[in-house]
Amino acid sequence: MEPEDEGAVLTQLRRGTLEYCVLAYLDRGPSYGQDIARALGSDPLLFGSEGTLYPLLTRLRRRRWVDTSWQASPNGPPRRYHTLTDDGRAALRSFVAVWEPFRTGVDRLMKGAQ
Amino acid sequence: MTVSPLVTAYLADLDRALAGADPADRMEIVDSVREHIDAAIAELGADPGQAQIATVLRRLGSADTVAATWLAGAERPAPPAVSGTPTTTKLPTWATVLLVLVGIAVVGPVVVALVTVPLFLLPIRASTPGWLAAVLVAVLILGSIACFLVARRSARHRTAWTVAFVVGLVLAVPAAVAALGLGTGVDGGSSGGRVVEVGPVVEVIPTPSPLP
Repeated sequence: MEPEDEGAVLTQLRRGTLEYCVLAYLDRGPSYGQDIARALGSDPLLFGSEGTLYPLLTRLRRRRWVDTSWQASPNGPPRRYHTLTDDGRAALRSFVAVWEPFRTGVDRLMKGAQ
Repeated sequence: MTVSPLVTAYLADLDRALAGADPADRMEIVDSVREHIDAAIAELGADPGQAQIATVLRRLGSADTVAATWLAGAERPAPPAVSGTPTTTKLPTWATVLLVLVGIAVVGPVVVALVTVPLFLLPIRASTPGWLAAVLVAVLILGSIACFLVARRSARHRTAWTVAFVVGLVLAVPAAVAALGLGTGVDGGSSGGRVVEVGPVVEVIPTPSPLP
């Protein structure tokens, strides 16, 4: 079996964390797709491509972690605005509670592996 | 505004790549991506070039990449829709065993009382402690059978239910002995025979006549 390259590692890491990054961004307030994509895309390591946001948003809406509604746009057609629900906020809190010790544990082990 | 053939082709590719998804989800994803493209192209001003539109599409990632995000997530079982409760606390096994034992200790006597009180009202000649012990045996055995059946079906607390099953059976043995002991030894003294009372059952066994 061949060792995984960096791209494969990133894909795995994004799979488990990116949807919580979207929740974290929406925790600041309701937002629309392009705005979220731009914010998360500012870190290319975090967000590979802007299009991957939309399957994530659909999944979050199906889980009722995010509510979607149409709102008028100052320039152009109405936009889908996404709002964090109480369930989504609870999911985000759970992730944050686990993430901190998880990251610390990984960091401690990785220092030994360098 | 005329739609660029690049955009049309991209959205058609995305729709095809999402062929395995739920139709409503598939439509929502494609529509959201279309809105993103429209908004991004609108920001480019009037009559953007094909190269600029290609850049917008490149930033989105390939249609296969976008679809893969959905399909990869679909492999994982979705959490229940109502996930407001952050975590459900899981009892450790020892706590479950303790709960089961306390349950037997508390519920057992209550059941015994409920069963025996009506019996006192019946005109049956039998030793009261014998009755109590016999009913206790029945409760313990039935409880053990119930624990055994639950242990077979329960994935989480199989050990606890098995322990409860064994404890129930072990307790049933002294209870059975007590039932026999309490119910025995009441001498009828009527026809020269002896009375053997086993719980509620009273049986008269004739004494064998001496050989000539």
